[in-house]
Amino acid sequence: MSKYFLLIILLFLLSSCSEDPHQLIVNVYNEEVPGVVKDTTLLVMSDTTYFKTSRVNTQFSLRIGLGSIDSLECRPIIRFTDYSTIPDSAQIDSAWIHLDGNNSLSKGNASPIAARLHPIGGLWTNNLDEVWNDYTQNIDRNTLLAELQISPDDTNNYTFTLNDAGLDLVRTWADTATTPDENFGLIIDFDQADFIQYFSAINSGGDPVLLLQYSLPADTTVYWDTLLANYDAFIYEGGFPRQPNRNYASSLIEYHSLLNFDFSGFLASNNNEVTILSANLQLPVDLNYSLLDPLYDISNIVVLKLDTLKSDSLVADSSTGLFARLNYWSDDSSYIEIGSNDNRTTLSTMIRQELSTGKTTAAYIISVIDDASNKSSRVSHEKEQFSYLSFFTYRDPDVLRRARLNIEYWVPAKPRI
Amino acid sequence: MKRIILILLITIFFILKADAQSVFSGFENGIGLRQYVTTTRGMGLGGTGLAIRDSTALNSYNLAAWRYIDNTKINISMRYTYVSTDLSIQKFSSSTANFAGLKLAIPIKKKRWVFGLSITPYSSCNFSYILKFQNTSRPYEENVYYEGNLSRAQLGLIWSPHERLALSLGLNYFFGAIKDRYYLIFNDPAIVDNFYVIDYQFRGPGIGTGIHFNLMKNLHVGGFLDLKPSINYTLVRRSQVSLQEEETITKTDFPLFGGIGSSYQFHPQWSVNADFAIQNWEKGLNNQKKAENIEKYYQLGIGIEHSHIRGKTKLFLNKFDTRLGFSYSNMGYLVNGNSIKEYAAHIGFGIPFFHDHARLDLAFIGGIRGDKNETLAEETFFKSFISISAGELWFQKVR
Repeated sequence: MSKYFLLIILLFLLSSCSEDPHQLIVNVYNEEVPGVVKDTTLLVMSDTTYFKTSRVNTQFSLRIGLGSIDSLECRPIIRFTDYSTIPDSAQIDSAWIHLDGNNSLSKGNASPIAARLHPIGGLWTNNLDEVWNDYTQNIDRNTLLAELQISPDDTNNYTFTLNDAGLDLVRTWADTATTPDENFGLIIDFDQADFIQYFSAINSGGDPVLLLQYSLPADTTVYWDTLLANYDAFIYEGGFPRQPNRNYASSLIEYHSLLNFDFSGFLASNNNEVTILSANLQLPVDLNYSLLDPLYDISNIVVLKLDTLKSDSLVADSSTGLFARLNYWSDDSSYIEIGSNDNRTTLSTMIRQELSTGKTTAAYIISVIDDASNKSSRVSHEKEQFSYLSFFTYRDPDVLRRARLNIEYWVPAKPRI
Repeated sequence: MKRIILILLITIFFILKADAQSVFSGFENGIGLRQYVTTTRGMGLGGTGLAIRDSTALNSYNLAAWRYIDNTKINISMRYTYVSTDLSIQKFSSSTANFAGLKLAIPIKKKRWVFGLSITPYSSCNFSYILKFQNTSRPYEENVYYEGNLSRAQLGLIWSPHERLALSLGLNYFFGAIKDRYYLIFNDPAIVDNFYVIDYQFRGPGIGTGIHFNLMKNLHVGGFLDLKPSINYTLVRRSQVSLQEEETITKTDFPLFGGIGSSYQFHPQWSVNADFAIQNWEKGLNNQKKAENIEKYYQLGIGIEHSHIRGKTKLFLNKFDTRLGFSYSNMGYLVNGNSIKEYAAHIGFGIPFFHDHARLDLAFIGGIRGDKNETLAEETFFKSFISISAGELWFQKVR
């Protein structure tokens, strides 16, 4: 008898089948059963701006800036410390410092910068902040190494020809009796500028170069060598004028906008049961008080989730990839928004995470970060550009100029039983 | 024997599989479509069987009818269902195969005491559908899978104090779960497709009784009554805001369920049967939720059977049982105030083997459920049942 039952079991396993769902042209069920997709707009409840007092370390920036805009001034500093390819007996006859232009930032017709090279009087690679709090104390402005007129250009290459003082300094650096720690490098200085010229920095593919021409004893051959810079950075000071009733997000001189949204009414009107499907933040911009680097525009403007808020500081959730890019302009350039699909889903994830903790409000930080296209690493401060964006506040009488959150959500299916 | 026990356990595991798709099984407030299968033999007789005298097959509802078995019997059934649904402007069909029940009866004292257990489907939900929402700012489609069933396990004791009378007392346990799964597909990278599940779980004990009585020569009557079970109804959802799983447990019950039937043998090879079963769902699940769309469930069936002749016979029709029947059911749901009714014609066969100690039963049912003009949908269905009833001597001494 057991064989028969075993046969039936096998028959069952072989014959049991299920059907794919059928599309219902006519919904025969209660319309509330399947739930419904809706959308809503939440205006920002409050907002403010925070200033980050510590400096951004520019040593690993892929660009170094020279010049001034608004009240911000930038000065590159460079060290060439590796002379291992130069024979000990070499007599350095000439030297040039070559920089690749890498775009510029100006507000209109700009005058050339009279750039000068001066030696630096202290080691700066270990603690940039301490040395450069008053950079004038660390450079020797009385010793001119080279000078050059710098005009704004995206791709120009700039070559400083070192004078005798410059040659003497290079010879000292190349001398084996000089240790790298005694080689403090040089600064590119200026007195007057109304634009910032950027140069390619170390590891950018257009690294600063020290070009040497030298000869050897009892040898009439003229030798050339090209030394790549070993350390570079740019020091900056000053800032930009802030307008009242505006929030800011900026780089180098770091301001971060904090936006607070209240979800309580939204949740209450949906019985505290919604699925956030997609979210888009639209942020009206006051272009009259904004400055954007043309190379980057708004590509690195992001919205981050607030982690900790103190009376004078805020901490963003810097979890890998947990930010959404605000890198799309509206058609009339009146606001920026989250344009790409994956970033809208990221923002919806951020909102869901916040609401899942039981909170009915959520705060988001608007920042300029370094390389927003890379979501595989933690966020870090922008160091390659100087930009600032000005936003209207929640008190602006024109509602259309306030920050807003557009949410698409699903009111979940109702229980049938 | 150990192999049989193992097979039983496997069978119990698989018995929870869902039934064929029916648009009516997805209606609100109910627990799907009620399943009423006495025996495969009874399904060939218009869904009757409460009063049939049978020494081979085991009745799912009236355990008192088990008194006629003289050795340990096991009965296992499966079914195949095909449903064609007509929604006036669209038609589709589906089919499913699955188990229809398992019963085991062990005589403790021949013709006097029988102990047994059974697991039978109680209700079934199975309807998967796609809703396309095109007239919204964000077109999407929603795939909905409403599946699951409830089963009734019964531990029964049958006592026959007199050769004409048998009584049964059963300890019922109702269990099962229905899952309501929603897949939202947006075909838009801006939106993450969403998945949502509502889980309805039922479990709880109850008591059932049955009677089988030989009223007069060749006339048997039988009936059963399942008292209201005490059911723990658990609604499980994952909150879409807190992302926590939330359980709501409610005490409820199922309505009283009873049936009565008769079987009259008017010729050595001919008998007629009639059954009626009813369960009043008007109050829903103990008034937990206002339910205007559910009502009484009942089934009325009649059937006639031509039995085989034991031993050798030349006439083909005498080699097996032949059955015909008709049933009418009220499915217990209302659509726009109209009851969903079911009409079905039944035909069945019983093929004895092992010298009449075992039997292979087949039943085929064709019918129509609902009315597309009155109840939005009309389902034409075909069901086939197959069961094997067999046995061997357990525990009793062979004299």
